[in-house]
Amino acid sequence: MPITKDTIRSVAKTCCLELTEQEVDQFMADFQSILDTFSKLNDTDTTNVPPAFHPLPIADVLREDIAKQGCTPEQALSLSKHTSKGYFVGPKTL
Amino acid sequence: MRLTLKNSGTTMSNKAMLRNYINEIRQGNVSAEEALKKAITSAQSLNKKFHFFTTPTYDLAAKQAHDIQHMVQNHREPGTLAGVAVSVKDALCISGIESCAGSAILKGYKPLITATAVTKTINAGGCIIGKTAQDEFGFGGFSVNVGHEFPVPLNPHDTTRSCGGSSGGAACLTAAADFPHVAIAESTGGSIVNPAAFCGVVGLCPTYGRVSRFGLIDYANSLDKIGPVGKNVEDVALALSVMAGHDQNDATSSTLPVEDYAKHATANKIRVGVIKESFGEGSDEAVRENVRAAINKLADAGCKITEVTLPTTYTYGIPSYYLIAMSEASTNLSRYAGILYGASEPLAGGFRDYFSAVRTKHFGTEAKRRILLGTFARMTGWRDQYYTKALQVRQLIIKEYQHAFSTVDVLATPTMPFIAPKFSEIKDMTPLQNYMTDILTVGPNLAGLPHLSVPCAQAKGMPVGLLLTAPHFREDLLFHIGVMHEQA
Repeated sequence: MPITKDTIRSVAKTCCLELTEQEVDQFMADFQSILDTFSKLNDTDTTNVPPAFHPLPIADVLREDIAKQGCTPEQALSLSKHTSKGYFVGPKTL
Repeated sequence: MRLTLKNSGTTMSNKAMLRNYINEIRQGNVSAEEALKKAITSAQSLNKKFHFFTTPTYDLAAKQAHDIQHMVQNHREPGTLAGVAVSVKDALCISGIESCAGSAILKGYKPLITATAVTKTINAGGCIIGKTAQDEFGFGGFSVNVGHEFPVPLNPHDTTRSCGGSSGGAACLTAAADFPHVAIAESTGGSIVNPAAFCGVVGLCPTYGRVSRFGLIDYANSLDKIGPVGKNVEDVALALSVMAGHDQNDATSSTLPVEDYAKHATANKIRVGVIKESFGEGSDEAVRENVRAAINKLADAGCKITEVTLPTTYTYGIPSYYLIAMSEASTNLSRYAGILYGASEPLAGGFRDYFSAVRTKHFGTEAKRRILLGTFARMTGWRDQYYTKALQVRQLIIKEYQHAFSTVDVLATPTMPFIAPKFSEIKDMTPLQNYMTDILTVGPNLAGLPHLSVPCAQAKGMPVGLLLTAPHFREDLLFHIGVMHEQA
């Protein structure tokens, strides 16, 4: 499958990464060689084979819905440089 | 076996000195405070040569040693690891200690929590001497994909060569240490046994869920395992006994009881399956010969050796592993956006501009490559062909291992196909060539199987590792055969 520069730019935008033209070229070449090799997975017959999301069976674990003290707001805010009046401050959304 | 380190000037012994040291501490014959003071002095000196620490925690270790000493003097139980220096891979959180998983995007992050494996180790008397170097978020097999301004650990056997990765700092320090020490490391696709083999020490990657992942900075949740690295099998078994067990903070941790691994299993005539594909032409001849010789010694010691074949695992393991690991990594790393913790920039522009600016500046090249590939593999139009397909192939691989274990007890292969490469050789490798070097380790990691690397020989003056893999939760069997190997 041919990988284009636009594919790389589109994926980068989705995951919030800015790439230089040089990086776009590099990652395009990397994608091409890696995905060409990885495409050999399609040689396997996986008809009716369920995907293994975990290596071992995992059961849902539930607990009583009882409120517990976690970290305090002050502790949580202490990890960030962008705070004001007891809140996190983020970039503009509109 | 005795290995002399060419560069450190120290001689290390694979004899079980840890147990004797702990007994001396517990009986009050040796002062934990004095012992840790010596260990810290030595670690400081060795770190200047080999660069295994991202963040030393000497003050913390000294305080913990003081507490141990106080407990001993007051006839209180100091724990099964009393006074042992313990290093912790940077990806495991320690409350109040900078924990970055080797990434610049977490620079300055001092977590509010401590990883359960670390808490258990501290409660057992371990003294934390530092956070160890690694590839950024575990993205590599040579510990060279480190974040900006993070150290690249140098192999104590030859400083022009890699320690392996991603837990390179853990194995490096374990090999170099001339004081009682165990390391807490982490593996996603081989990151414990790979550096253990390259540095000539013992590494155990436990069954998925055997050790709680709470407090681990995730790479890929369905693959990550925390495990110990030590100078010999007994040290590693002792450390696992402390770390293992159910944790209500990790829903994937197993509720099966923890054995006293230091006692080892007793087993009659262990059936060892040698995986045919692991001795293919892609591996170094000297490595193949030395590992075959080690397996022959197991036969001399009473093991029954047969050949088994795992064609699906060895043909499709690499693409299956990397597509799953990158997909999970790309979702995990989406949380790093420069607001709540870690690296940040002055707020400017819209949210997309800001998040992109922070992530672009602080993620390394390999992290970006894996985020891009993982995001691509999960996108509509490609998901079935890559991500879902990889998960289905993983199912086939799990079944293939189950079939193999219907006829043998343990599987044996080389740990790595070659000895630790020189940094100059790594520089010339493409990303795909890098990924292909994990061919021997991705299988047991995909299937969540416990695997143990033990040093078995030297080739060209560098250590060679023998990899032993057992069915789920049979770490006891690995320790048993590991000790047999050490005594052979």
